[in-house]
Amino acid sequence: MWDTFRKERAWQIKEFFFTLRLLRQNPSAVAGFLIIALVTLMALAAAFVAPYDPIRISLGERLRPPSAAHLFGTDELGRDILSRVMYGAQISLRIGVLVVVIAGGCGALLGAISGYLGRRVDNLIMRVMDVILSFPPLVLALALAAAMGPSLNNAILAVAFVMIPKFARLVRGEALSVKEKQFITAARASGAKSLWIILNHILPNCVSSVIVLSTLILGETILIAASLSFIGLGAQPPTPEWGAMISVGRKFLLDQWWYATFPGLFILVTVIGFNIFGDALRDILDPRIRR
Amino acid sequence: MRLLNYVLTRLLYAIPVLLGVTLLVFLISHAIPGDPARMMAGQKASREAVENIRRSLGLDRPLPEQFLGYLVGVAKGDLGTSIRNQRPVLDDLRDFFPATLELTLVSMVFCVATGLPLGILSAIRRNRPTDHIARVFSVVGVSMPVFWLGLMLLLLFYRTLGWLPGSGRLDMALNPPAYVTGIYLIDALVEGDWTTFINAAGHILLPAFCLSYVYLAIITRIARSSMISALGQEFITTARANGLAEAAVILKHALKNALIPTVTITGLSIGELLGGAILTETIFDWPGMGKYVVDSVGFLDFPAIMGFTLVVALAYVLVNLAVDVLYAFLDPQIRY
Amino acid sequence: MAEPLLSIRNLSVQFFTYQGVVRALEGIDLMIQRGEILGLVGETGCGKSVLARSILRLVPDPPGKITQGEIRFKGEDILRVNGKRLREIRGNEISMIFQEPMSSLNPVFTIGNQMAEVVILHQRVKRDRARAICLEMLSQVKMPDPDRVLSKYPHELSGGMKQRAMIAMELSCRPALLIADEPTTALDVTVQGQVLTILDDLVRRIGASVLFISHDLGVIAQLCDRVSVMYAGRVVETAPVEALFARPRHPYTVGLLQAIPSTHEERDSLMTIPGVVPRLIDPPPGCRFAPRCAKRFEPCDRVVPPLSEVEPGHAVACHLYPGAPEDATRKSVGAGEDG
Repeated sequence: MWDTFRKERAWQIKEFFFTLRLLRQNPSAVAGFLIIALVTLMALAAAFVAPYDPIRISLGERLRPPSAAHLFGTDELGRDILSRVMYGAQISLRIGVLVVVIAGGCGALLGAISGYLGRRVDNLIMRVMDVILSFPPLVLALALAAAMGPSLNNAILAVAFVMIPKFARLVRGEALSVKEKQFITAARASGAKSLWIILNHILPNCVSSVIVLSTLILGETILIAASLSFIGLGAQPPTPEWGAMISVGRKFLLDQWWYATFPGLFILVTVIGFNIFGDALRDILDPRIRR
Repeated sequence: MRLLNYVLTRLLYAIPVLLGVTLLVFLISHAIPGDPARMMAGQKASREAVENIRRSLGLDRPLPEQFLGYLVGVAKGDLGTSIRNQRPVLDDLRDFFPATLELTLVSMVFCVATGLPLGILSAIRRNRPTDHIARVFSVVGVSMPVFWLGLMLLLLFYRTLGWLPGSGRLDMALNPPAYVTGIYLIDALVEGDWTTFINAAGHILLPAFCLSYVYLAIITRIARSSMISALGQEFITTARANGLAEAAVILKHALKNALIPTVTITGLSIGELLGGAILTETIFDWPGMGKYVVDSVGFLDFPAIMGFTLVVALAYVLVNLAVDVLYAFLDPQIRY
Repeated sequence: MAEPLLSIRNLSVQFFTYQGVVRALEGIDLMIQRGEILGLVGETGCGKSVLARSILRLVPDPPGKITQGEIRFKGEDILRVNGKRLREIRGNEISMIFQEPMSSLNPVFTIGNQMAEVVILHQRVKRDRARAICLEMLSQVKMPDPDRVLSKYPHELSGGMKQRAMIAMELSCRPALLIADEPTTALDVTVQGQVLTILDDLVRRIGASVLFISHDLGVIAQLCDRVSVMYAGRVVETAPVEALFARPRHPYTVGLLQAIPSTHEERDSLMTIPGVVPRLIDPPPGCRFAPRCAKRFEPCDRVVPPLSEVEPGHAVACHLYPGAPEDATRKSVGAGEDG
């Protein structure tokens, strides 16, 4: 049993490096990755690189247009927008990662259980997933966030809830196909418990498709979270979340165009990055194209 | 006959989903908040008012009993009372529905009429400039924050160029046309009121474009990929080998096959339209259900929010049901 | 000597891919007379399908390209006719049936719709007349309950029935030439015989010629009048069917025939031809079979052996059989009776 294990792992590592090489050769993968890397860098280094304190109020410099001193201009409280946008990256990425981890974890587990155990358990779980998917994502997230109370953490939970079925369906599909393979029968024959099989055989096989889905969902999450904040249900002031900034910036749109423009631009570019990378990754991992 | 069976089966399947949706909304509105009675009564209501609500809505009963009551209420059309307006939520929604319908319909028609040909063209001219442009547009489209796009459109067309109006369905000075459908474009035509029609069209232009952007990208993308897929099939070679002109090969043989996944995804993505409508209506001050729910959020008008959610979700399920049926018309293999 | 119905001369087809230029067909010479069934045999990858598709110009371009040669059909060079004439020929004067009936028919249209489409296109008749013609053809292929079949969708028919429908469809316009690309390979063995008999009958009744492609020598022996053997993009031997089986000349042909398991002789193991088919991106200069040939000698690796006649109607491309000079070869290959 350990031998199969080691062989599986060795093969997986080889496949991993092969994937890396293919990624390097794919222009959209590289472009997407660069965007993601830059945004991540900005998020991580915000404390060091941001020119100003994002919450420092300076009433003397309210609503200044972009200049050398303030590349993105200032907001209605004199705060530097560029710095706020940089910290906003931190927030958006944090939201994205948390949602993916929560939704991915719950969804993958549900999907694996559902696919592996089959029959009534499968039916029940998938019906529930269907119901959740019957809502337009933003509408459901809105309802949940409203019920839980407007806060960033609640928004994260709300969006995660909405995303769970996507992971569940994916992993269930993989579980169904893996279930019939020989090594599962072998494992069961040697007395392994269902939970162990699920954790050690089924889930590792889903890794690549889960990664692709996670990348795409990260992008979608950032959009939905920003939309929630825009409506007033996510991040609350003075948190420099991109959607929240646009919500305020809207009031000043006509005469202070920079306020709403820059945060939104960053949302757009960041999500494009995740989407391009995710698409390229999916194409590369597609078994038909790989050979 | 087989088709009828299929439709009936689908309808039957839809019922548990509809029930499930109602259950989920019920749970969200009754099981999650700290005190559902206070949520229904409003933040500003007195303790007495809250207790009244609690008793009249039966919020002190066990949950299953509450759900039954809720279900019956929904069937009768009772979606609660709006805190803001002190009216039944259903009436509010009914008032704001036509505006949303108009916006959504115009967007859908525009998107299908543009996206389908664009996708097909992109597939035929694969890897040539048209294709590359279409693909870039697609990626940008699905990554676009709708509310930001709306603001940028306003900046450009309203503020800078002054070509188009910035809000509402009609200029303040004009009166809405006589009510036939509630859709100004249609009603104005029915009345023969050309001025109003043009004005309404001008007002709907930006919001419709904004709302369409994401949806258009989705449709173009799926139309392109399903067309490419269809064109790669063996029966296309058969058609060519039989002497059919290329146009017939593409428009008859490939297209019908390509439409199958396209229709499915188009139907599923209507959820994007509905979600996007919320944001678009807010940006453009479009008096529809979307703006209604966002305003309700501002007031923490809980019943309104939940009522909206239920109605939209139920509508979405029915739309998907319709798409399923349409799918069966296109793909004979499904019916058997 | 009768003018052949189809005459392929010096046909070369190449595919331009990321890995390089694939020389799928090189200098193909082939001839089909009126009313004869020519078998085209060879293993997977030798270019039989490419050749078949080239005749009707169905090779996808890009990445494929017909780089040289001519294909004369009733005197016209198909490779040089305009689009309109090509579409007149396709499905009407030259028809083609493919290997996989599952995927060769459009799943979203009925059999009747697809058959009638071809009939209406080429015979310019009204819908009712077209329907009658389709019914007639379906009964010719012995389709049970033809009336109901017309309104059925492909997935409702079995493989054998689908292929019979294809045959009916492709012969409905009474083409002079039918190209059959492995029509029974994808069918159950039990059904294969049925379909082949139906095909043989119908074709003879119409008086059509057939280019019958297969890798199954047994089927070829049953059905064909003459046979051409292909290897790695080249024709290596052409002969009347009895001559090919009785007196195979080319070492590859010999190897092929020996590889058929025999119920008469006793052998310890299955005979195989050692080595592998060459990659067509950088094929060996000279004879492409040389690397695997037991009889290989000095010129084989350098010079491409031309297809030359060794007996009336029997031509080989091998340095072991130098045969007649090139121009005479052109005329005599495929002539049958004449020298």
